Amino acid sequence: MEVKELDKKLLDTFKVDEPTIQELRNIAKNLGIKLKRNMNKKEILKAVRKEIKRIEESSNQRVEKVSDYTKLAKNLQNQQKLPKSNESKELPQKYKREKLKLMPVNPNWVYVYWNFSEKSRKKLKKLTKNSNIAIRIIKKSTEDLGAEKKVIETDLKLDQNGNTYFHLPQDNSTYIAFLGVKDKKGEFTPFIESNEITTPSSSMKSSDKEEWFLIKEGKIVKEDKKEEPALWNIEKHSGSSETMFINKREFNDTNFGSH
Amino acid sequence: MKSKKGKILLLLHAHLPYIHHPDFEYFMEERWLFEAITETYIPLIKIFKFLEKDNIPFKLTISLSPTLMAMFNLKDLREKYHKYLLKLIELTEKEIIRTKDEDPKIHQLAQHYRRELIEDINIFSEEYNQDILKAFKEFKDKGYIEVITSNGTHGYLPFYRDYPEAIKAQIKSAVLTFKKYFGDHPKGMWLAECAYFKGLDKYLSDEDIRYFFVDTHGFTYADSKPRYGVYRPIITPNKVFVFARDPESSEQIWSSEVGYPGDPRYREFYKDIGYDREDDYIRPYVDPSGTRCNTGIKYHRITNKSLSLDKKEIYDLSEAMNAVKEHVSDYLFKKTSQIRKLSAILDEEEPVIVAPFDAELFGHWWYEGPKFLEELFRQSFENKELEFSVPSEILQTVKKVQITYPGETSWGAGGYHDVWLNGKNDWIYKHIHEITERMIEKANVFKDPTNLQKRILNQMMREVLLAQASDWPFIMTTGTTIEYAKNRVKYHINRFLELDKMLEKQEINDEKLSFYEWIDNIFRNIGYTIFSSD
Repeated sequence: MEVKELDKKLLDTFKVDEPTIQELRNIAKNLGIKLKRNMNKKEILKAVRKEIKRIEESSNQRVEKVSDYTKLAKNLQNQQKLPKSNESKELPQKYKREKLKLMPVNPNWVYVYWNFSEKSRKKLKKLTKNSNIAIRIIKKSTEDLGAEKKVIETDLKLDQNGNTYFHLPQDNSTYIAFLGVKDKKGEFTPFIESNEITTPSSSMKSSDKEEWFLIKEGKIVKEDKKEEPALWNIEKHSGSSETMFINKREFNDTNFGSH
Repeated sequence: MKSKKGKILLLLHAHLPYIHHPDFEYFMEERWLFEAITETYIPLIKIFKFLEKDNIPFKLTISLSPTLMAMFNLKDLREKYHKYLLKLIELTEKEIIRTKDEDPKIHQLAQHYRRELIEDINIFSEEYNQDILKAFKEFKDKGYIEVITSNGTHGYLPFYRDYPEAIKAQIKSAVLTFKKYFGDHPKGMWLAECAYFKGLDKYLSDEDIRYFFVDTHGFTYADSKPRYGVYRPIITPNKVFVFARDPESSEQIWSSEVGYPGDPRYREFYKDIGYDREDDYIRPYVDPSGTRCNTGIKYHRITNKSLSLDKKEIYDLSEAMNAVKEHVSDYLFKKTSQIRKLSAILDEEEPVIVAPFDAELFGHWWYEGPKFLEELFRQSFENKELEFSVPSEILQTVKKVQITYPGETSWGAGGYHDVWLNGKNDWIYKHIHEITERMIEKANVFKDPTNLQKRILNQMMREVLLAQASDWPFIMTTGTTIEYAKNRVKYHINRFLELDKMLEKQEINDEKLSFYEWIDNIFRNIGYTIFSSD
């Protein structure tokens, strides 16, 4: 509960002078304390003090009093020369963890980055005297789990941990990548395996059945697909995200400014 | 009264990244919050008040991101904002004197700005005791607005799909923050950048989130195409409702080409006295370094988009209000005719039109935006064919809903992840994934930490979450304040690595830890265990 302006004056009276019982009753009323008719001044005073303490404690809990740290931080900055809150140094070039990571960008593009340890780098160096390092992306077949198809391959330089993008032929498909060694005959030995990803869909799917949930009954029913309503014709999708974003950018860049 | 035939679901997503530099008396990027409070959040509160006073019913959904809620609640940001407002009022007072002998319209505008700012400071300081959330809570409790939230630090969730713990942490931190400030569980969630991937619905369902939103093509490319298109919600197999954006409703308002905000009568954003007045005069009101910036005091109208700024004509408030009225009539006319067409082909179902926006469009980018909303509710009061609603009310009336998974989407360029993953920002993910993985490992290992270890782990959690914010890669793509965004990613990662080292070596530098806790103390009521795999 917040103390109104009027109450503040009363509260000041409360702090500085000895308030009258009427003033105390007013303060109590404004603080929302229910008083019994037969309460004496001392009892009202006690109730008011208790409520004020409660309000103070609860507001302390809710509001993050950052300014309390100000003094401490100033001292710290003097003693330790701590960095300013907007200062940063460069990031590490590599990490210990070995990784080949695939991230979908859109239905046809994926981003891949890799990181290998010093130990692996040395090992790869030995292995690649007569061969190349390459990343190979495989499309996993949903129909036939055994059937995997090499999709794309690219040669890399060993000395760097890095990243690249791949264009993949099919949307809504599952892919996995391998970083490995490829000898002159084209024989590929995988070294690091990536996570598996499914690219986003950009095509409409059709099926003969629709599933519906009947909320009250908590039941799922299957219905034959009805003839498609002419809905998708009503709104041409001119306001799709792409246009939205371009417009937003124009908004920012040409018309309406930006931060 | 006979029920109206169509519902419009208006959603405003209010989000700003957590920007807090308490070791600076003035910090340029903290102005983003102050500008948004003055130009969008308080004007929204004002229109709520006007509508309530006139007994005009209004309904809209507001999503407040956890980072924004946390910033509203920081005492030093509140005090800085208070000072910022006082400074602006001082500037308008100078402007009133200065413009006395200029065009009377400019002089009147200076007076108008002063009046508005004094109202703002009264609302901010006197009425709500510097607590903006209290105002939103008030209108939520009165049933006018449905307040929901967004995921933790606005992390771009499709990039963390290999780390279930990280997704859970983003969602849990959002739920706990909402509970802290609003006292109850959020019914719905606006996913950062409207970004969805298959499986995310399960995490939402686990946290009792009833609904979320996707962009239009999320329904177009759904696993099974929704019979009613984007005009009815669907439900995922994990029992979470999904609404999809109506492309037309957004475009009319958003687009600077065909949308209303480009009208020549509306205020020109770019011509601001922050850039036009002489150095000595404006210096106290812009960045102390002398770098100029917007003050919000603008005297010109768009006039013609192709005109250079020096050729813009003077802004006329009453002309702009005429434009608002015309545009609202036009909007309602179009929506009514859309609803008529939809009702004719939607069997017995009532069409639901979903129109989500960034809240800051209204007021910050488009000065007349809040007035547009106010007028929208005023004019629609009389409309017999449509009314405004909120998701939970619509869901109460749903008897039968189609089950399917929406397609993977975002509302960025191209509709997928390109804006947040491209040559300008891709370098960040290797590092963010690394610290995310380490955080999960730590949360799984430290089951019974000492108090000091717990403090370190909690701060590490904050650094990971803040590094994951979608704002930094977005800024790198769009090319504004790029250095700030790069630095933010770098220092969250560096701090995490430093704290991790302290923990590993058991050489804890308490003072440094206190310093980091002081700077980025978001989610103080939340523990690092939100990252554990249990």
